[in-house]
Amino acid sequence: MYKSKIGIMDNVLLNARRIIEGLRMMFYYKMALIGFFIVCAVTIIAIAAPLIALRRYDETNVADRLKPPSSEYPFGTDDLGRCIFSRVIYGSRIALMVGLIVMLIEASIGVVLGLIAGYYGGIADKVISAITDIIWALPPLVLALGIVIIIGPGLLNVVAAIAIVSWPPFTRITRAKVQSLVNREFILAARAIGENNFNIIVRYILPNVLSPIIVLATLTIPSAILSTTALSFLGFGAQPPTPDWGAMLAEGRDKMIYAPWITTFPGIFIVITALGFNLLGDGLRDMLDPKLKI
Amino acid sequence: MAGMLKYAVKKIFLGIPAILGVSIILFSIMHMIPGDPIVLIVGERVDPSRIEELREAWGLNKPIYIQYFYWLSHFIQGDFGTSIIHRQPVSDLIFSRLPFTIELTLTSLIIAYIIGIPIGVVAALKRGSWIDYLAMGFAIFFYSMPGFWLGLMLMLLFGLYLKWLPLSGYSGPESLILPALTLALPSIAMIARLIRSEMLEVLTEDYVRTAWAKGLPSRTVIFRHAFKNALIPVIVMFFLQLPWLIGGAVVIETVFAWPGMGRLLYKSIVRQDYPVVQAIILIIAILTVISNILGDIVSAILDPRIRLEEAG
Repeated sequence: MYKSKIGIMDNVLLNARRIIEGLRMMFYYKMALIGFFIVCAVTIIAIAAPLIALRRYDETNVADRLKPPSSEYPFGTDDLGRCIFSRVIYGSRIALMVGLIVMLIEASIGVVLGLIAGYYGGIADKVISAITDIIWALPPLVLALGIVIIIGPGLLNVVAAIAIVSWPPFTRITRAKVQSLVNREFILAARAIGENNFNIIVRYILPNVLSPIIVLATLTIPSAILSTTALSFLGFGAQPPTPDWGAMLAEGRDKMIYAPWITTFPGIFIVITALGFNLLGDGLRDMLDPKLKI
Repeated sequence: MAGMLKYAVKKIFLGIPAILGVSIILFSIMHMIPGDPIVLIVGERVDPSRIEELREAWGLNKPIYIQYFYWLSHFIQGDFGTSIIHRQPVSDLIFSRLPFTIELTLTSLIIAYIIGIPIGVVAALKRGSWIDYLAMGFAIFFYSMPGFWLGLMLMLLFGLYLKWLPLSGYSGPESLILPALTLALPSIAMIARLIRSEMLEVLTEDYVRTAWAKGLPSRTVIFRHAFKNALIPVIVMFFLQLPWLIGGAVVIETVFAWPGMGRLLYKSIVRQDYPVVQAIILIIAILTVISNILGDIVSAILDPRIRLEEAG
């Protein structure tokens, strides 16, 4: 009991020190800082969406159809007279949720499999590596399309499909990192004092493989957002009137000639959001693990 | 050279289970789709006894693994079944569109390499300068952009406002420019980033320092010693990028109404023409596995250390 308490306190202190060190270093990486601010801004917009938006996202106003941007409608209106600005603001909630959920599912599947494959080796490793290779052998977007055919269209189904096909990078990176650790002295020492496998994995190995996982997780969010918007754009994702950015682009596509604002503004927000996470992820990699290749 | 051949054969044999695995996954996916395939083909108003007859004739009453081998053996012989919508062999449909997809993806890969490599090399050589920041800023910007939106914006700018290029469809070589550029821009970004980081790594290696110390002219050091080695992963990336581009082409071809395989896949999904969907996804999978194998073999040819590692 006594021993483990000290362990936890040490860990908390060490982590706090690491976080402070990380924040200090972050200032040296201007790009990462810009990315961090963008991510914060998008998060604030998503949380405070009802305060920022001028109208409800599904409020139609037939008298004001297809109005170009004006002081009343900052980003114009679509063919049902809905305010594009308000829809884009609410859309940030969907984009962030999608990014986070996909990232969490991928990381949980990928990291658990990677830990098992790397730590136990043998048959477990062979089977897991084979599955990983087969799934990775297909372009994720195409495989995700295949899954959406079975489970049907819809935002949650698209999220599930993308997560199911995109976890292999987590497994590969975790496995490689674990393999480089299993024969190190501190793991042998842990075994020698009689720690069981589960404790060794969770308390000794996991903390040491966290940094590449954090980097990969950050970079997974923008690619998840981009894949979901692509599937929504093709009509397999969010259905109307959900203010999903990809679905908004799809709705505005055939009106692009006379109402280009419907497609322009949601796209700009997709780019800004993805850019923020990519800059942050790149910066985190430079700080935590410069040799990492993702 | 014998070692090389052994390595290549080994890689090819490792690719076969991957393709079989994908085909099993795909076959199961198609079996999990709700709806009876016979009803889908002949329609609802056919006599139930006739449907039973057809089920017997087409072997759909056999156990699922027999059906799988049946399907696979036909697939290997180039018989992909008949399209439900077009009422013609799936292989005809696919092979009439495949050249367009290959034209599009290869053009954009070539564009990506011609533009991406110089940008990455200059950024690495001028590390920390405004050129580096600008190049990497642009790279990450295009990397963060959804391809289909970029396509729409390019269409708006060059097709609609400037009227320089055709909006969409296929009406001659100038139709290729916009979709190829749209597909290439994210790859340019990726290649520029890759060659930059490879150059930075290689430039710190001992043999490059030795080359500088020998007093070789900087052009020789940079191009003969550093660039040649930094290029290896970038060349291998050519093969690894192909499947990603084909995936991206599904969306881009749909946006630009490009008459390729990706657009056929999209339309077939929307119209529930499953024999076509199945065949296209499996062909993409096979192309992916082949290009991964080619990538491995090419990297082993260019970098003998890889062969030695695998052998030892």
